[in-house]
Amino acid sequence: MNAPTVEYFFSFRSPYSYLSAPRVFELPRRYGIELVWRGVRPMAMRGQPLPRAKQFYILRDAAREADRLGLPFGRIHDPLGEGVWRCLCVAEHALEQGRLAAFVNLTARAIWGEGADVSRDAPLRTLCERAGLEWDACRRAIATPGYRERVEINTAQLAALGHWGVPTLVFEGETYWGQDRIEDLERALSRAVLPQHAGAAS
Amino acid sequence: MLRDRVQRSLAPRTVVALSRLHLPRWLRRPLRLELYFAYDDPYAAVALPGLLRLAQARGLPLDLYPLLERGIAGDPAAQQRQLYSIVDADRLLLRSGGRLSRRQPLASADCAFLAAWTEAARRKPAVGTFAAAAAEELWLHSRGPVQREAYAQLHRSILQCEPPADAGQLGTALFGNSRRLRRRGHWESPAVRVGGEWFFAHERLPQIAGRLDELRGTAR
Repeated sequence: MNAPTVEYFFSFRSPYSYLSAPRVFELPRRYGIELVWRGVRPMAMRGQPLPRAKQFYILRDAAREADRLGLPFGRIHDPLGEGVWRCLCVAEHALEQGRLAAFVNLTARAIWGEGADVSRDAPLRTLCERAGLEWDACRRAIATPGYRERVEINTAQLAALGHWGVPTLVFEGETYWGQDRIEDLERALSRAVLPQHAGAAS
Repeated sequence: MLRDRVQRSLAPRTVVALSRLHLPRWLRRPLRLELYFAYDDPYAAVALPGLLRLAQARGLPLDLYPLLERGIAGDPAAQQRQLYSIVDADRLLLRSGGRLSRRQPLASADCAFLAAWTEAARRKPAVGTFAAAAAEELWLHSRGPVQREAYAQLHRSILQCEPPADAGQLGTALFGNSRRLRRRGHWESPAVRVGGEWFFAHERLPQIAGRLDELRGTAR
């Protein structure tokens, strides 16, 4: 029997995506699900309005949530634009190499907590290599149009779901939006969990 | 180059750093909670009872600012947000064993009379109890068209008086609440301001409780 799937819509420009990543990448081990990666373009690159009051609120609230979760936050370098694209393309390559969780966790943490400018080669190279990826292959990935097309498809899928924000998780047709809604998804997973994972999930 | 650095790095780092600074106790204003909420927002049915409990348990005033207007002007996802908020509020309630009874969105005009009654009762000590009971009646215990008489009964039993006959006069005050919300740096319901700090009240109740205790100097 195929494992149930959970789709994971993620943006490197979303601090809440960063806060969600360590817990979301644990879900396959805990619940026996298959996690389907869906890297998407940020809201600001999708025509969604983001007034200053909302930008400030997100930063302040994400800082509080990061403190609560014990994750570093505050030394920020906004990757909007080419930095986002480079990360999304390398993430597609990392997925094929089985290094997705390591790359996403390290890179999101570096953007939001360590001030890494991922539009530059040197910081991104360090992150790729720490995630177990070869830099030359990552450079080729950044220039691979097929990866950008995948991101566009993912972004269109999020819109088709009637959703706008990230992180968004989809399980059995139900969407769960927000790093603080993972517990609601876990409640649904616990009900549907495969017998051999029932113990691990508790 | 400099502008890019400011936008990408210096500005967001400064916002976060400032948010972590807290005034010494002797410089703070007396602690109170300001809640901006809309009755047509299902999250209000989570936020109002929860905040009321937090405020009452700590002997703190909860000032209510009912809204008719909220959100981001021209937001293309406004309708999607409205539909999703019903699903999401139901899940938040489920965490403590509750459920929403209403599964269809309400228009602001459907519950404008409740906003006006709340505004009119602003100075009454039991206004928070009335607002929480009305929000729960609206979202947890009823469905279909909003029956004004059911809320009038709540008004009589909790506030001990008849609801105002001409609530239309309060429109200016209600729009003033929306202006006050935006001027103070927020845009949406249910937003609570605690010691100068904003929280979305429906999803941050434990964090608000923690911050209140910290500000009162009773945090463990």
